[in-house]
Amino acid sequence: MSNVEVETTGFAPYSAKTGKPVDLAMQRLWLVGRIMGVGARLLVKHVFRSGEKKPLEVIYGFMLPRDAALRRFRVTGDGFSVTSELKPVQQAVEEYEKAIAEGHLGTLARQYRDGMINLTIGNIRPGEEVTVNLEIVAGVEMRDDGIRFRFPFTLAPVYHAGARAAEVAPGVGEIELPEDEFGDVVLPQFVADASALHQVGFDLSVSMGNPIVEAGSPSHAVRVVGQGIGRSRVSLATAKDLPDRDLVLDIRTSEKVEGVVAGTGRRGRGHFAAVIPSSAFKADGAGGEEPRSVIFLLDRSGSMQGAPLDQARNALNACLGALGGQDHFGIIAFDSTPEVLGAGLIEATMENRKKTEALLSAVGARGGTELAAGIRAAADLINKANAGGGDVMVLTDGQVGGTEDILNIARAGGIRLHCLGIGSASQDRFLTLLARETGGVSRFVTPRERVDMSAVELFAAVGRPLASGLTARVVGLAEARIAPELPGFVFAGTPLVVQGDAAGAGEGRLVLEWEAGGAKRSLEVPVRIGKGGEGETVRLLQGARLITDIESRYSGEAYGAEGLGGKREAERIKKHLIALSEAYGLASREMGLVAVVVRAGDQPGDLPVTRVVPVGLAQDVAMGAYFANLAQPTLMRESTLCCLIDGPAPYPDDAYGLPGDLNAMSKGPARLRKHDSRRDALLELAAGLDADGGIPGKTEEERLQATVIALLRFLAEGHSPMRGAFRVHVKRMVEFLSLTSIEQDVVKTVIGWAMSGRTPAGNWSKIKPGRGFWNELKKAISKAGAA
Amino acid sequence: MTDPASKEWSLKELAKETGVPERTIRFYISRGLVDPPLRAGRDSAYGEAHRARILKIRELKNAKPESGRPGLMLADIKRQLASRPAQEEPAAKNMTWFEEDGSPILSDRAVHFEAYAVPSPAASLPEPEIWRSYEVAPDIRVMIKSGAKPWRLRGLMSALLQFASAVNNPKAKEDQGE
Repeated sequence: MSNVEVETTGFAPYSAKTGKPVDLAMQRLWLVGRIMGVGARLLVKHVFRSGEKKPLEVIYGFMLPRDAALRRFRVTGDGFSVTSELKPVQQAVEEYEKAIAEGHLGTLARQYRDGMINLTIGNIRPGEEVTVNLEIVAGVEMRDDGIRFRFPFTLAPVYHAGARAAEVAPGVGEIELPEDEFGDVVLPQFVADASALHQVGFDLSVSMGNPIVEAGSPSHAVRVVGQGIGRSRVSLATAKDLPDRDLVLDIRTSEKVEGVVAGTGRRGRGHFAAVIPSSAFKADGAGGEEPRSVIFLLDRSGSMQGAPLDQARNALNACLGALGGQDHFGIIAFDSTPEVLGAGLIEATMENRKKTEALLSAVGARGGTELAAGIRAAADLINKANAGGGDVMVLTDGQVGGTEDILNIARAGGIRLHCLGIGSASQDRFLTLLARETGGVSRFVTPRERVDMSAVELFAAVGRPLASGLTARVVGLAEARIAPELPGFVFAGTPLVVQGDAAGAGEGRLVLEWEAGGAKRSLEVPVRIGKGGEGETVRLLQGARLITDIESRYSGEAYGAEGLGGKREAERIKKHLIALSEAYGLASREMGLVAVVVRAGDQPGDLPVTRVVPVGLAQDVAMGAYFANLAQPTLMRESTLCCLIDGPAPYPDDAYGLPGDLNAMSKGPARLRKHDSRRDALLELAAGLDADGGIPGKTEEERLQATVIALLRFLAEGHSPMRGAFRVHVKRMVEFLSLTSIEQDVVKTVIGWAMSGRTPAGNWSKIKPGRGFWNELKKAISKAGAA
Repeated sequence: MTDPASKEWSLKELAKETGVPERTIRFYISRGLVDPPLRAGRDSAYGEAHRARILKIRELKNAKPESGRPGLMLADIKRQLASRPAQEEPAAKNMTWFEEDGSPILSDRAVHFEAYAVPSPAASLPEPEIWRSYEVAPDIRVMIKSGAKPWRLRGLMSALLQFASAVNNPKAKEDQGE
């Protein structure tokens, strides 16, 4: 290997012969572990090998998944295997540096802002192979019918007003963050061609409380093997893959995810996680629906150019079709600055929606991702209108830095944020916090899924909360407490998870109380904590979640805060973090993991060469959208770029636009196109709904006919008032039709199909309003009814 | 009295002296921004030049927009520092430009470049920067940003003329066998 001639061009080592990178410091990254309904315990295996002639120091930068924390690592090599210790960060750094100075093998895992980790291994000898197995505890995105799991195999370029970004060599980008805010964190290089980078792969076991009906991935080719009821093994179908996108797994169960996972932890204390599906909070005949105020916050940064922005626009128009005339809406497009489209918060009349549609069509992609400014603008808009709070739906692909500052702004805004993260490496951890800390819901969509459908689905789910003012207490278990705090609301499709602990094993019950439709309601869930069981796992997941929540308040400003108030708060958070880390045995920004290996023949003082592990640029990200070219020798300008994305760049053709079915790629291109046109048609219909829930027309009769056919088209695709992304639209159409006195028998039949969730087969789009409409429709209904 | 220029530090001491973590200093060395230690092994040490270079890197990296000089990336800093030691600045001296035949250059050959080449809607294009390019020799071109203050420009021209004289010196070419 060392016979290959290596030239360094700027900062990217390339082979002089092949032009490809050589001497990869990290050879392989392999993910194993167990995913459950409430979270995951993961082991990430990193294999490092030195092709250098001197000792090697490697820095691998990566992002934590949502609600995740590092537990420990084990470093192994020829003749040694050492487990890390959890220590205050400064002490861990000093031990690491002492090891390096003395020629020993040092390994340090340190956490920075935004959930960023640097795993640093120093003094790998020439030709030596060292493996670091890092244990991570992580959360999952929970839905009533399953879970979605995401693990970062790469990193999306970070936007921050103080960041500097440049293409330092052909196809190699670098980002540097200001040290006064981010410390000495090292970000990886971003390489457009990931084919020569380290291998990635995974082999995970899944155990859910209910039978698994579907396990798949919109990001990777997977092999799924059933291992009993509620258990499957999901692994990479190929021998290896590239680090250019996150791993996303979808697990669906036959029944709603619910139940209690519990047991005693390593110190004998009892821990539980109770999952209550959102359907448990639905109240039939609850009071009338209040008018809503909704702001759509649309990321129009340069990287959204092409399909993401087009689909986001379509989605917004469709979502507006779900609003009634008494609702209000506003749209803010943001990049480096926010822009309020139109007159701000306005009534959801057809006229206002049409004007907004015209304004939206003129929104192009440009600039950076100043999400904080966008959130402030949304809060201002709602507060100025005295709307008494409101919902903000955020559509963004941006991975942003300084998230703690953004979260502080969001909390102070007094608004509820629902987030749809877009992209193969969007920041799930941050968007989850952004939604949770403000009482909202977050979802993410990968490049192989449709942004518009996911946005409409999310909008339908967060229509109105099913429950608010939640309180919980535990009865019958000694020293019981609920931690972390309950969320403010329950929304359709997203279960409530209540975590807590007690003195030890025992039986008790969880009592939940909330408000819905102006009435107080309650629910009891039995909690049985046995000895052992899943207690340790639940304990660790609880710890990771508590640490994540506290760290989200640990901003750069607070960290180096001016004034007594700021410094006092920073000190309080610091102490709390240290206490949590020590109590749960998990790393945080105040406690790092360090291990030192003393090997025979270690020589002090030989300075190791430092290499940063590069990652693949996320496959849906264009290099030019983030990195200006520094490499042109005639353009010897100073790098004044302080914002990423000065303009849109060519967009990869094959990202976005495929249907959201799991493993859809295997169905072939022809079928995919057919799905797209049907969904496109539904989106257009949804966007065309008038404020009263009917399709527009010249006469009442024409409107009625068009609405009946539109409703049948939605029903034929599986949507109903209770189910599907367009359920709100379907419900409104049903309400419109139920008021008519024309052709009541036919209309009642169609409404009956809708309310029963029937999927009537038929080519309903062929029946056009006009003369002979009702006869033709009756024949088609009769045929469909007989089928 | 100890000569400050002869003072030496271990890596740990250098880190404390400059406020830059040890890992970061190693990073700079690996990137070619800072020279390797004066000595390797158990007695490895760093000198004043290392200290000054690290402080210079910090200064260039952490400049704030209010100061009028935005912070630079390491790649930019490397280019900027590549041709001279950290603490030295070129002295401006009087010099004359010469064409290849020895006659003085009567006018500069200025070429304007757009600093941003990224296609984007006109509304979002930042203001372009103008750079003047001076061909000092057939294989040497020097770029100077337009808009420098007159006293600064005089100094730069003076330095350029001296540089041009040095690289185009007929005797120097003879010595190199041209």
